[in-house]
Amino acid sequence: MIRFEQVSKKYPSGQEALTDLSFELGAGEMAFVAGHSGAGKSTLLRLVALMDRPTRGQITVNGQSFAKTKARHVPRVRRGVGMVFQDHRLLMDRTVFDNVALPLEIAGCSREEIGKRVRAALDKVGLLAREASAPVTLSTGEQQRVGIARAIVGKPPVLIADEPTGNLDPMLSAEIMKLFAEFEQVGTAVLVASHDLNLIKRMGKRVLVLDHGKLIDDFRPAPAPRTEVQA
Amino acid sequence: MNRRVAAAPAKAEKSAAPSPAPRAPAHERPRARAWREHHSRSFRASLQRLMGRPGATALTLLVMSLALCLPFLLWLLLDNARALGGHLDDARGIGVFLKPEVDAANAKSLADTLRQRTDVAEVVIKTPEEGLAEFRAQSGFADALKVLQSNPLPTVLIVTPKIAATSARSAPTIVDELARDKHVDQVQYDALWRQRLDAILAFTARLAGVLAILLGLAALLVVGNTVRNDIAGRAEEISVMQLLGADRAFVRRPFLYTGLWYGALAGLCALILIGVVEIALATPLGQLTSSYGGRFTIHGLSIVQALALLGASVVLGWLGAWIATSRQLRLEQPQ
Repeated sequence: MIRFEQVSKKYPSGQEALTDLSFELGAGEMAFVAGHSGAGKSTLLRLVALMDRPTRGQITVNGQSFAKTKARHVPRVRRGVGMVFQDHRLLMDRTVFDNVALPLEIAGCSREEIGKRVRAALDKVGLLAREASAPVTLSTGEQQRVGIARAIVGKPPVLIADEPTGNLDPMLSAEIMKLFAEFEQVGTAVLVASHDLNLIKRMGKRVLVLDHGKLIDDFRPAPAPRTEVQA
Repeated sequence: MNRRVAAAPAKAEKSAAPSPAPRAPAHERPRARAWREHHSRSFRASLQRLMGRPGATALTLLVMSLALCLPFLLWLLLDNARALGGHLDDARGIGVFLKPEVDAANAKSLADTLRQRTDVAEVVIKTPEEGLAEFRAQSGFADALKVLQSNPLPTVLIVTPKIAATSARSAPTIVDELARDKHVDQVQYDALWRQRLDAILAFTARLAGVLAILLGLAALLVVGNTVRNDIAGRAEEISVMQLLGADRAFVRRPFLYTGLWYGALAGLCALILIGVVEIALATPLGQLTSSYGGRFTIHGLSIVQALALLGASVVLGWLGAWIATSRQLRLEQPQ
């Protein structure tokens, strides 16, 4: 689903955000991207979402080689990638329903289908009762769940999340992470950037560890859960 | 907003129930309908957005409608002046003032020779007596004229050239030939000042055109700037939509409708303004025209012209929004 081949990203400022990064994430696989802030986690996710282009190397997502993707096809590629942001980025002047419906509207779904799928997505994150609420009336954890519902409502093959629990307390964080793990089971490739090592450890998933833009460890848990995680 | 949104899907489901997408391929139809739905939603939402900030909207509309109605008013004035000019077509006649010593018989023979010419339509002889009577009747100098011992007026031939013989711009050759005739004292060709009037009218028409372009440009910039501000105020929304995979057309659509609304509403305001100006000027203009003996009448904007103004306004609004979105959305595209 996601393949990076010797990808480097250098920003115009001269900062080398990623260096020679290679990894592959299959369908139905979940991985964390760990590392200190500035290690390149966000850059990696931005590249997956085609918010930036790599300076060198090849990226393939959903079988689409980004090098061959023209600017006008970027929207189509993005529709195949569900995105969850740390600050959820909900539109505050719209209801929960309308926020979640946005990707389907963009994709050109009919009203009936939007209604069905939005409710299914809201049900999945446990917020079906709040569909008519304004996002501001929701707690931070609920807002993030709406953000997740919006990311998955279009059933994208790839789901990425940048510090989705950054603003949440440990209990809520664990809940959110479990939610992501559920999508892995329905065949979605899930890539979550997080610096919360304790949480990552508890999830027992694959971890890509970045340091100063380099992949220093690709930790895969043994079939039996392990406890050791490298920083 | 909340209520509308919550109700919308339920309503859509209900209305769709009796006819579950007949005809057309099943995968094609919902997409077209979604597209139409997004259009109608953008159409309504953009109007609601304008109504949501009445002050700013009113100001924009006022500036736009002023810019639109000024060239139209000038053009209207010009159109009326042209109509006035049209009544002066009969001023094409050439007044040929014969020398005082030319007697009636000579005048008649000269008139006859002129009538033989192919480029002459008509020749009318005005004897000094007729001229004096006319002068007395028209100029109000009746008392002063009584003082005169003899009739100082010469015999005048009014020569009307054939239309084909008079080219649009230059005086017909007959004018020069007449001026050289030994019997002729002076040739007065009224078409000269008529040409001057034509030139003034043409200049004013060009002026109106230039003003229309400049003010149309101003209207364009007003809409463009308003939409640009609108885009800046909704940068987060646009950025989120682009991240969710919205293409340019999708992001741009509501703004184009905003421009369309500005154009349509400003067009209506401009029509109202023109109407107000017409009413305000009706009385003094009526007095002016009646002093000309009601030979011409002032006319206002016709339905076709009103529709043209409205159409131009809508196009300007849409175009302004299009330009603004082209510029802004290119900058917003993260790459």
